[in-house]
Amino acid sequence: MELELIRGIWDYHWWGNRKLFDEAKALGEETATKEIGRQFSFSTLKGMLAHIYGADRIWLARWKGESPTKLYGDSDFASLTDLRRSWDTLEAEQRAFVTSLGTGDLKRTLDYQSTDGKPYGQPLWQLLQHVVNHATHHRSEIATMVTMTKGSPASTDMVLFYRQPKG
Amino acid sequence: MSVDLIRELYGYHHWANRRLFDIAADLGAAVVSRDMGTHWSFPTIKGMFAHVYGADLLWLSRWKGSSPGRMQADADFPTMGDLRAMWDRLEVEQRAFVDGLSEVDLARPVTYRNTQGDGFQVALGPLLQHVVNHATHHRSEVATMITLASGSPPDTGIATYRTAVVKG
Repeated sequence: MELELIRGIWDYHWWGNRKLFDEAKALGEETATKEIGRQFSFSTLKGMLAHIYGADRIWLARWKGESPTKLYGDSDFASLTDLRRSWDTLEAEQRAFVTSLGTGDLKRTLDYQSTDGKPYGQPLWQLLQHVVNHATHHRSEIATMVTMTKGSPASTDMVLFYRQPKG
Repeated sequence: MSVDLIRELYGYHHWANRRLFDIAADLGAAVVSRDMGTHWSFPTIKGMFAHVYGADLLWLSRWKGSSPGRMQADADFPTMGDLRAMWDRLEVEQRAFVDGLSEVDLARPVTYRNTQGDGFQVALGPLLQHVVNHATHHRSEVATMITLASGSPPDTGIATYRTAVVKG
């Protein structure tokens, strides 16, 4: 069951990311780079989405045994279209990684260094949950930013995802 | 290990809820009841916490086989102190429920009705994950609201919980 639980939240993660990305895209590139407020972790929609991408990317690299010192962010992407291209590639790599995991892999202790060089070691399953939870935090900010811009976006509540008919 | 995964997730959930609740409670009654705008899911910090509590309560009932027709919310709690007292009890019940789970329970389909009466069926494991994810969404809003009221609160990420609290 643990593999199903982990794969389930990752399918949810890709679904939720894409839904909010598409909401931001529909507002146009100009709106996506507009400063919405310093109370948010990142002040623009593009910056927030780029941060989710950057965190997802750095964690995947760590799971594969590297510890990058650079976290990708807003300034690495000229537009949402640029970001989408890189994100599609990353998502395919993530999907291959998550699909390949067995129960033994989930228990494996992952040693990595943060971007400032501090060492950590945690079981992989905890980190797989962390990345999804991290994105939910920032997707919530995006939802509020979209609400401030044009009105409330469609919900990305996890139960809605699980209630969808599965093809 | 799926049971461990869920139990640790609830350890995180309880830690994160309390971490933000304590900071909010310190801001005082006037701040937590201040209307901060209609762009939030709930316009006050107290209302947001009451909603996280209400959803947790509702889902625990559904897992135990009853589908309440009403969700508890802001108006049910005059103060943060009132909410805290109810939440402490709920947390104990939630922990007992999660501690009592076995691997087979997680695959069990839960049949429930939402507050409008529509029927659904979802496996217990994913619903347990849903409740924590739901709270993370609203904790993010609370974090931004606290930032507006007094400055940015500390991180409530899972990685922080593991390294600072569980240590391993």
